[in-house]
Amino acid sequence: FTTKDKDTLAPGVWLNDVVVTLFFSLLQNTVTSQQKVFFLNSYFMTKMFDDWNNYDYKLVQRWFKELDLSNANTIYVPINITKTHWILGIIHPQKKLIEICDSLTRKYNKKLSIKRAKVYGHVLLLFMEDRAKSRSLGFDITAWSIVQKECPQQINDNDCGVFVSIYALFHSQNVDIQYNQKYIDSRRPEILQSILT
Amino acid sequence: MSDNEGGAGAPEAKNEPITIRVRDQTGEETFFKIKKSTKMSKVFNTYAQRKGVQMSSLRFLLDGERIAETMTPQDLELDDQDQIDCMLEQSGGL
Repeated sequence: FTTKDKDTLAPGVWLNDVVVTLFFSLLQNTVTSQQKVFFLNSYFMTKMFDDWNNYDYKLVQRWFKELDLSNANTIYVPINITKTHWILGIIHPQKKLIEICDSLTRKYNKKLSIKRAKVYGHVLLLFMEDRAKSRSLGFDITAWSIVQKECPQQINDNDCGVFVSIYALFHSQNVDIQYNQKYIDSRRPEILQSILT
Repeated sequence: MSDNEGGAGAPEAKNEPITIRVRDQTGEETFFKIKKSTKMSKVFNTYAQRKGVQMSSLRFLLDGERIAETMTPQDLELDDQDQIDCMLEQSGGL
């Protein structure tokens, strides 16, 4: 965690991968192993699904070896899109459901965000299928669904990383997801504080 | 591993150099020959210099876990020809 990383938590600055991944690893510490809840890092999606949109399971087949993702209750995946946007993928293996939360689904972005949800949701689904198969587990891809979840929206062009972090926090703690931009503004110093301590 | 009497017959001496493959996001591989006791920061620095980028914008991962600069191949249990991933800084706001 360098000064450069820390500076991305200043008001109006875009959060970087180190901050998001550190925050997610802190969230991992808030759950017990019995809960079977996992917080993955932001490199995972980028590694298996590159900017040219090629999905390759082999590139991540050794990742998170020790985690039983196929039988998890919830898996949180921070997703970076072409180094400009953060969205959140939530996988529910028991419910065979993948949710995509995008804090930027405003009017002019609507079509794009729907497409994003489909594409990244589908990649997560393919990963879950390949992961199950690699461990000789059954997997019925037709039983799964991918939905774009309604979630609080940013009103600026810089806070999506904070929205992703706070959504994962609230969702994993079963807190009612009711917050707005103003609340998000106040969370930057708190995220910094939680990382430093 | 270390309870080898006299070392006779041990195929690999403790500090024999190994080759590490660094794979970037385009799939390109760069090879480094280093001793098992050398800090990974040396690999990272050389790699960044060769690629002409700042080291602070690179992330090195082993099986999805970020590698600390102070670690050595020995700490990471890296063997000859093992591969690590190099990824670029990510950022996002809109």
